[in-house]
Amino acid sequence: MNAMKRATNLLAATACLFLVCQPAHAYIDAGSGSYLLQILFAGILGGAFAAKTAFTNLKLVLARKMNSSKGDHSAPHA
Amino acid sequence: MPEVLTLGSSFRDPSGFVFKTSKGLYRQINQVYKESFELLEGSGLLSELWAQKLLVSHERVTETFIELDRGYAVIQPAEVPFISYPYEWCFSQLKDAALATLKIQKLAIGKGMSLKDASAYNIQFLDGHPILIDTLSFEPYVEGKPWIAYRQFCQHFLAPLVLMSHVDVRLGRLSATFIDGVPLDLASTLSKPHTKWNPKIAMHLHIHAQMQAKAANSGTKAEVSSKFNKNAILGLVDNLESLVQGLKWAPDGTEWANYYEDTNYSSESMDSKHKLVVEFLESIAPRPQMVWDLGANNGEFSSLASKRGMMTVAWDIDPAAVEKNYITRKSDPKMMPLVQDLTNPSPSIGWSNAERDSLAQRGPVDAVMALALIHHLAIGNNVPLEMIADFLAKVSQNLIIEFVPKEDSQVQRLLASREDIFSRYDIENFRKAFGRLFDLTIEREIPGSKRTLFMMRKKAA
Repeated sequence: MNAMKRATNLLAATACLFLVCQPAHAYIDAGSGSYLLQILFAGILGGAFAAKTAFTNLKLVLARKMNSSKGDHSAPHA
Repeated sequence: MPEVLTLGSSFRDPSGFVFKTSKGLYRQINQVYKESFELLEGSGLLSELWAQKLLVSHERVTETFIELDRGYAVIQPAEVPFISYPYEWCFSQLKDAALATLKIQKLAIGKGMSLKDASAYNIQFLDGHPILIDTLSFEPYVEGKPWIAYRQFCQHFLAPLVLMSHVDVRLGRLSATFIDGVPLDLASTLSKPHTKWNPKIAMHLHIHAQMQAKAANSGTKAEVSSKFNKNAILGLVDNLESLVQGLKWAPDGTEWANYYEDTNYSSESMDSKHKLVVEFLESIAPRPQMVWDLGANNGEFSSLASKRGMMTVAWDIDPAAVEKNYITRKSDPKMMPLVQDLTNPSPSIGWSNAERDSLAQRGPVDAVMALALIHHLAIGNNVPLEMIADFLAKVSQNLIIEFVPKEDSQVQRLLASREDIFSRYDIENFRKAFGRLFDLTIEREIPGSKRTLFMMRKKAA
């Protein structure tokens, strides 16, 4: 058994701990494995997205500050 | 009540269904979907998707419900002029359709909803851009619930895109065999040697396939109620988007992609052929609304029709030629490039062979162009001239067709490696074969070549 298979087994076993059975109303089969995968990678995906969003916001704030300071310098004197 | 036809592809989702009457195409929304539809309208998602041209527009109508006890409302969606299928799309069409689906999902989550399916068949091309045609694809977003359509997105979009990009572009045709998308274990097996070190593909394809196998063996059937916050679902969509954005495919100098640089046409005869095709197109009355260009290559001649406001489907067997046409003519709203093997055309597939129409079922159209094609069918594939005429009469009302004689260098090239068993392949037999079914209205030699261009009108039945 290769390393990827061993890791997947471990991940699948861990994921089962978080499962709460509920009646399904969806008309397509979401696939248990597809659900498990999303749960397992939730932390990584959510963390990466939060970091990306924070970085984008920081860039926007900095760009706004740079523009406003440029605007201050170029503003005509009354 | 007018005669009603429920579409053969519209049976899976209990939220509603599509039906046709003599007055047009309608979608019934069932009571069970009332709450979701009101949220779609009230949340602003509907207007946002319409503003961004990501969802087909519709009008509420007062048509009689088909099933009164279940009905909540009836809408009439805007018409999509031509329905195409994922297995007919080139690489960039499938990629653009995937990115449109992910963009829609991001917008939906922002408005408190989520896509409950991500079928590639729910995307069509309108004015050259991918658009969602299933207005009932949304459900209220529930915090903590993973994306229900993730598996379907990976099977319908990600798996074929990875295979086309990393293994062979012709594997896009697998979608015709697997109507609910390419199984992830199959895609993983085929692509693993090329993609195992790509962490995003490893997660969404290889580990995903293994997780599916493990979960299937354990018999687990569950919904998850925790650990998956809004950042996680947005992160999932963002991760998929960046993976799909990074997938590339470029043709590497195929024979067909360079066809227009590799013919026996001089620039003078090419110009003459352009003029003749335009003259023939303009002579068709009433003016064609829908044109199919069979064997369109990169769409050079198809664009003569599309630029005149005729909706033009440019079919070609070569994914490279279709890719080139799609990329270079995205701004042409009347151009629809698609991959098609005329020697084995798209069949009708799905439940009861009625979910997806065959090529012939989507015709007949006002006009068909078959330029520099007949020798590939008659000599390249041994199809008798009569059978070619039979097929073209099935799909066209008017036909612009080029006869390429044996003396032509392109035909000589086809015969170079095989015995010439085509004693009946000449212009006289061509006229006879087509004259059974068509009136041959114009016949012109193309200056500077040995070829002849015909304008034909199908005989009244």
